[in-house]
Amino acid sequence: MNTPAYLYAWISLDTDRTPLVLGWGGGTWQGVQRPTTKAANLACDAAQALLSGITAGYRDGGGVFIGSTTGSLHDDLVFDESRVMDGGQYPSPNAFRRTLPSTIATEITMDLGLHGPVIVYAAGAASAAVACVRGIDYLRRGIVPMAIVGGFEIWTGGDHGAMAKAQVPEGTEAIIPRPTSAERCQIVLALIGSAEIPGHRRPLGQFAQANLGGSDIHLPGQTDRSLNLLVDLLVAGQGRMEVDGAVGIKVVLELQRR
Amino acid sequence: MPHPDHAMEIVSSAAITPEFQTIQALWTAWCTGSRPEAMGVESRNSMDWHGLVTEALHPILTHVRDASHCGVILATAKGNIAEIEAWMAALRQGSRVDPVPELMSDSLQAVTHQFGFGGPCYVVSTACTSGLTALIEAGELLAGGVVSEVVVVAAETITDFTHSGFQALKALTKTTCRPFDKSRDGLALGSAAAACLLRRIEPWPRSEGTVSLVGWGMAADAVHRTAPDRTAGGLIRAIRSALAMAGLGPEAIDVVAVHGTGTRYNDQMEATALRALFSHQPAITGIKGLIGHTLGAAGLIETLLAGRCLITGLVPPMVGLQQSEYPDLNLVIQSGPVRPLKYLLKTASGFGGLNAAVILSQTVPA
Repeated sequence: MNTPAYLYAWISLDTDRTPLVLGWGGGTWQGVQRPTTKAANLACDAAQALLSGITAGYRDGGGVFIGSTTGSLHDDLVFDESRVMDGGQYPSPNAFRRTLPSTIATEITMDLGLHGPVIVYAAGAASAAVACVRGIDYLRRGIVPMAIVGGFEIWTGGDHGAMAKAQVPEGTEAIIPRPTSAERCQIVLALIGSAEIPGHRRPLGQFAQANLGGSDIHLPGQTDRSLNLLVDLLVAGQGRMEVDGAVGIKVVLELQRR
Repeated sequence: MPHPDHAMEIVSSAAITPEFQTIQALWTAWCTGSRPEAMGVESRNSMDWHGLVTEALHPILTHVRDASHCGVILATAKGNIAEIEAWMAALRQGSRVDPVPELMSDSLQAVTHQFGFGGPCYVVSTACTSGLTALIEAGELLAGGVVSEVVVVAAETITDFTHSGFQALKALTKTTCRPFDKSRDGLALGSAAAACLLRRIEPWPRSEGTVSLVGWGMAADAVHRTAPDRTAGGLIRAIRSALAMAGLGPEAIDVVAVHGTGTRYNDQMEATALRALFSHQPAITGIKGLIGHTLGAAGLIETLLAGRCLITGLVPPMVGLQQSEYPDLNLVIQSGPVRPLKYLLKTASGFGGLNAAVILSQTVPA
């Protein structure tokens, strides 16, 4: 339980923000610009960037721990549309395949060749924070050597505006997926590891605290507030975040600069 | 003996389906190998999600020592899909609706608020492995000392939305679910809820007639969105992780309760894994022929039922199996004689190449 948990790199994609927030701490992003604009594709590109330079052998046991409140609701609507069209004769199998909250996480595993545990969490406003804490715990218990942790939300309805330009830290070569009609989504992913990751730069920081507890808060709330708190923490590079999820959970995450 | 850090006692368990109101009724039906005429796809829309969860939780609650410090993990693939479906229908008709429907967090919030659970509570959703994932998460929380007891609850209801999706994938049986049978042609869907209370094993007193969770593992195929890895790489990896955690070799496993959906690809993949790992012919059984594929609830309800094999010494049949496609595997067609059983392996696999495995043993009196 004393294994350290280091933060190596992180990326935040937010189609509602201008400029697009991009945090990065680990080398060159060799992201692929994709013809489609599914949030899953954006997440895969982001995860590719996080793991660039890491050998397949080391990736092999990596896990994915992601939180989401809205889960697959957007894709539920897409499938639902297909299944009621033309008197319900042609429900789309391809759309149905995406109607699981775990779709994005499993697509990341396929894209990156990760064979470790994959878990998607929902805990109201604390969803992404729960995923981070659980990922860190799996790391500390030696079950995974490294993991992608974070969260995503895909918004339903409204305008599906174009993604904004990217803000790239100086010295980082980046190719940002810049679709013309992206699904409105927010994705925050971080690469964590317990020791030096071969082929990667030095860690950005170390998680000093990553705890779960109960909470008395049972107020309705559907937005994953922890996604934004997580971005604030990662941008600052140090600090402490606390968030309550209406399901009855309190999450504490503390990051120290390395 | 397994390392104490990895041994968790399943203190109490409960399960409910549209056809069976108690876990004992389910067990009895499984042992006889007979199934009710109307089951599976016919049961869709017949069960209320919250009603199912409440019914499953009630028998567990009396065993919780301190709800204010007890964690709750809810497993589900789709949450309260009936509510979401109603919301989508209202949206289509242009009715005034909430910005979002009842999401998975909201479903759990209703439970934690109603029963006053004060420990960490959250939902896990990993397709058809959700139930096992929740059990594993509970084991991890207990092993990490985060809480001293955790309620695990899993629920899934089958609606037109789910049914039409599996129909579009051409995964549904046209007849009946017959896992591992030569003539199997697909899965049947079923609604269900299950719940259990997990505690770290204590030196004394230990409950009699209970089973313990002694090892677990999870792994991803990273191959395909819906189809399993034909080499069974992910499942083999998950089982090996579970065996390693339990400190056991494959030969220690007496019974394997497989995922056994009745689809050609799933059962073939599982057969590949079983051949690769077990040369000593453990008894292989499954229950989806009786209750259908209960998706996110399957891993938990099937584990809790399979645990009864260890307590009774009886291995019920693979319901629906008449003529095995895999004669080299010890697939149970009829319940065998009662015999001492020490370790049971339960597996689950799901869309996206997710795999999970847990190992149960009978709780050893101190």
